[in-house]
Amino acid sequence: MSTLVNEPEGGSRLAERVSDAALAVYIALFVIFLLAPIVIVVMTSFTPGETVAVSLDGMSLRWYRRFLEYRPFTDSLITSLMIAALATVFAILFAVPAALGIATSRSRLANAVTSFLLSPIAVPPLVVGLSSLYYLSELGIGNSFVALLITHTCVSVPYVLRTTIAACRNLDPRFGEAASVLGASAWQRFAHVTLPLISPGVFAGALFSVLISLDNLGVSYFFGSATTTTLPVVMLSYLQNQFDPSIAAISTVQMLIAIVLLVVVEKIYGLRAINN
Amino acid sequence: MNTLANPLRAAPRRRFWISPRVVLCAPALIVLALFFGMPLYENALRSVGISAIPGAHSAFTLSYYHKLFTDPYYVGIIFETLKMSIWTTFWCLIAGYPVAYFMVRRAGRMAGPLLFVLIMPLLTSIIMRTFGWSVLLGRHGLVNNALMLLGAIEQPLRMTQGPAIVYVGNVHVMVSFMVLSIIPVLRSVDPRLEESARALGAGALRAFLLVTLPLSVDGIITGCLIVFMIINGSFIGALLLGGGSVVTLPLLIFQQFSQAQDMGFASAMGNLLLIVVLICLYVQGRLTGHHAETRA
Amino acid sequence: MKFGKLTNWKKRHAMFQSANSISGAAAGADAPATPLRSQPLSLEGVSKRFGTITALESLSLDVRAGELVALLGPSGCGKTTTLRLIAGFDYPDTGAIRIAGRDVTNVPSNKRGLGMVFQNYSLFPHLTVAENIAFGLRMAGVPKRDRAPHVARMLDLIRLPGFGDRRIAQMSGGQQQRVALARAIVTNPSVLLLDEPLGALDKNLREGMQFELKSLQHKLGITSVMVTHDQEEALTMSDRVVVMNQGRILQSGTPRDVYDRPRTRFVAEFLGAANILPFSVARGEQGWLDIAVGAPHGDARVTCRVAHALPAPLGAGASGELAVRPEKLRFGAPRDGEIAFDGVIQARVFRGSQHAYRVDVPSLKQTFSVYEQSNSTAALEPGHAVSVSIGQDDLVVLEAEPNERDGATR
Repeated sequence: MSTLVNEPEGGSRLAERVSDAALAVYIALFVIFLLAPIVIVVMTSFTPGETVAVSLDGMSLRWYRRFLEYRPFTDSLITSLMIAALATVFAILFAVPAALGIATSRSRLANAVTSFLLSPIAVPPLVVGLSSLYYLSELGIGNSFVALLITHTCVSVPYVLRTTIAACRNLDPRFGEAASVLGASAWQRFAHVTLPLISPGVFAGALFSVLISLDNLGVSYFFGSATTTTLPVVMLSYLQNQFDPSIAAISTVQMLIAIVLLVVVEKIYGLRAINN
Repeated sequence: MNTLANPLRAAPRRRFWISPRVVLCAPALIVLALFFGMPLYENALRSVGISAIPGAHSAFTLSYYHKLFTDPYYVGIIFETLKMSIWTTFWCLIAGYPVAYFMVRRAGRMAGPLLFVLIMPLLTSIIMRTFGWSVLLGRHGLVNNALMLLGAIEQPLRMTQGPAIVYVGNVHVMVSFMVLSIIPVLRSVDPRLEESARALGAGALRAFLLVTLPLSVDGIITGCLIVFMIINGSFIGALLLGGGSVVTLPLLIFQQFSQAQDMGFASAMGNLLLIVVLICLYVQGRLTGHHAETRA
Repeated sequence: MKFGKLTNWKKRHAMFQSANSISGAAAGADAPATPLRSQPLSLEGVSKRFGTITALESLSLDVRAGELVALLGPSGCGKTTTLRLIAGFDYPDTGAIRIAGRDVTNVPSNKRGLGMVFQNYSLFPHLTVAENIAFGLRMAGVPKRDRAPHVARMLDLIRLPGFGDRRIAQMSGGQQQRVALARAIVTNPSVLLLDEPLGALDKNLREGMQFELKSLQHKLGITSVMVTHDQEEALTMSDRVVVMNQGRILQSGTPRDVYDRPRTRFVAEFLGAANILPFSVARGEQGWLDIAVGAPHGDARVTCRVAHALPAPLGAGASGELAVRPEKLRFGAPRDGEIAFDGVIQARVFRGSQHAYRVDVPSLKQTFSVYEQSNSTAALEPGHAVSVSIGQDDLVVLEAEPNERDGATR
């Protein structure tokens, strides 16, 4: 490990080994703790029986079929995906220019603007949803797809903004200078150098935005209507009313979508983008 | 990013010069102000009785807050909310710090896979995770089956509904945030500092407590505040795992909304949650800023 | 608009053709002075302040066609600021910058027709080698088909044929350096700027690249300005060295000039080792001084006559300093035109090609540095008494530093 001036006596070296082993055991237990519920749900989704439990009798896809047949599930999944995608696109359109404007300034004003634009992350989704519903109802667009989209966009902006600002700040200014000497106008600098080099950060933020939006219950809860119910809302009411393994099936599907997105972003841009 | 000076600085300024930065930030600012800031502002107004709807009855009143802070039922709920947030934060810290320490100091090649395991739960829906606990601990769940197999119990235990399981569920959901907040700060603590303390005679535990732990306080504060803020506003755990035994403010808002209660009171509850968040953000700003100064 | 950009590029290309026909020989004091307007680059009275710090103070500099000028000085001397002003990354507070006769003082950097090699190359990591090289052409609106032959020509020139599709991360430091150079010159810039171009390379690689860079520049005849803090690099590669300190130009001349005849003590000591000897004037005329070498009230002073290039001769009784390079000192009895001092060898260090001696000279109460080729004479041992001889022509009369000089007049 390291060379110490005073070599530990035999007893304390043993204590070190024991504590290292204890830590390793703890970590193993922790991993099991983290993954157990997830694994359980995935396994439950394949149960052929009616009870919500892991079955040892064999596997069946009946609950996945149930999920595909049950209109509210499929409709709300499509709604969720559309909202997530559109909200993320709008969030990118708003957040990327804002990040470009903010990233290079350290002034108090810039910090204040940044704090404000990042604040939707901190406010409880329930409060956002509630306030937004009342407000948009007053404006006449309450309880519609547009209203839901607007609210989700507001909540998505911080995720894209945060990673994009980090990417902008990590960008070496000398690339811009090199491009300029080579004749690039400000717009060309942006399009050919800045944008390609910050796009890993933008897409990492977009990934967060999509995932958060898909899972966002608090915001969507208040906008329930035929066209505007999202998957989490439907799942919750189903859980409270019917409680069968089809919830496990949908959850597994949702998880797979998230993993696929993660893998896609990682393949294109590398894990670094997400770590940042 | 832009180190190129503006040539128009040398030329005479036009009359309506708008900095390009302002133009870039404007769309985001306008949208968020209109559709995020305004709703919250109106919510705050509604909580004191001032309605934004033209023509509706509007009179300043603190009656909603009065009810909230004096009616023992609601006061109890507020305490329950705070209690849950604080305990969840505490257990996340206790459970999460060793994980962060392991990741930074001991993991080596395992750091990558371990990071994946940490992030994995964040990819799944909160419903899935919470649901998973109720399955795991259900009457036909794995734990009960294992215990019965071992002969420890005759009948399956009722474990799925109750305060303890709510905490377990909450900690499960939030501990990754705690760990991910602590890791970067812990990483910046030079391991040689702890080694120097040991070379000077301190035992391993003392060296950790006196050197590493204080230097990682920033990460601890950030993690605790994040966990506290998010749990304070969440209700899924209490809803699905509590079975009515844990009633928090967010859960109350959720449940009461469908019963068409008066808007003012709901707004007051929501506004209270918002104020707690603002306090947390302020505290975080002051504490982490202060630490950065004293270390410089 | 695309057509206009194309014309711009072709204009530069035409300029390159004519520049090629001009001999790229080093411009020395004997070259005919070319009129200011047609020179590739000139700075007039440029000054720049950052807050309370004056980075450049009324700097004037002319760079002749085809020459490689090195801006040399310690960190903070203003050389990088000067380069950035020429590039257009920042704008001077006063003064003018002219490129190819055109006043570009307020022209943004993308319209100045320059090329630049950055210290860490700043090659675009998301583009291939060929795309990096073609970038300037692409910005100028040259269509894809027409870009390819130029890129191929460049790759041949830098001896990396076929490397076009490689990623930047796959290239070694030396290769990246060459790609950065190719990227800068493919657009036929009027002036090439180099910011510590070899700073990131290993020592072994650096020497080879010095020759390569210089020969390429010479062959293409591109007017170049190089910033460096490495005196050896400046002396090796440049046609003219401009020594800067504290925002001012202290001396400008050929490497030989600046090395053998430094104007001030700073220049003398920055460009290599120098022995500094005090003297007092017996009689002074334009062009020469009768002096006594040594401290004013020392004993056994040696007298001689030295040439000087001071703007005004020093009067009788005035004092000053001389500089003489260690390799110009010789062990042995003085010959005609030489003066000598008695000394005792204190220490000797073997430096590969030469021996470096420290010789204690009691009459001057100082120590000389003397370099002798290691194969020429047998090494002398410490403690050995010697006579150190110096040619009078090798004594350089130093001017006072600019601060001291201007003190009274400001």
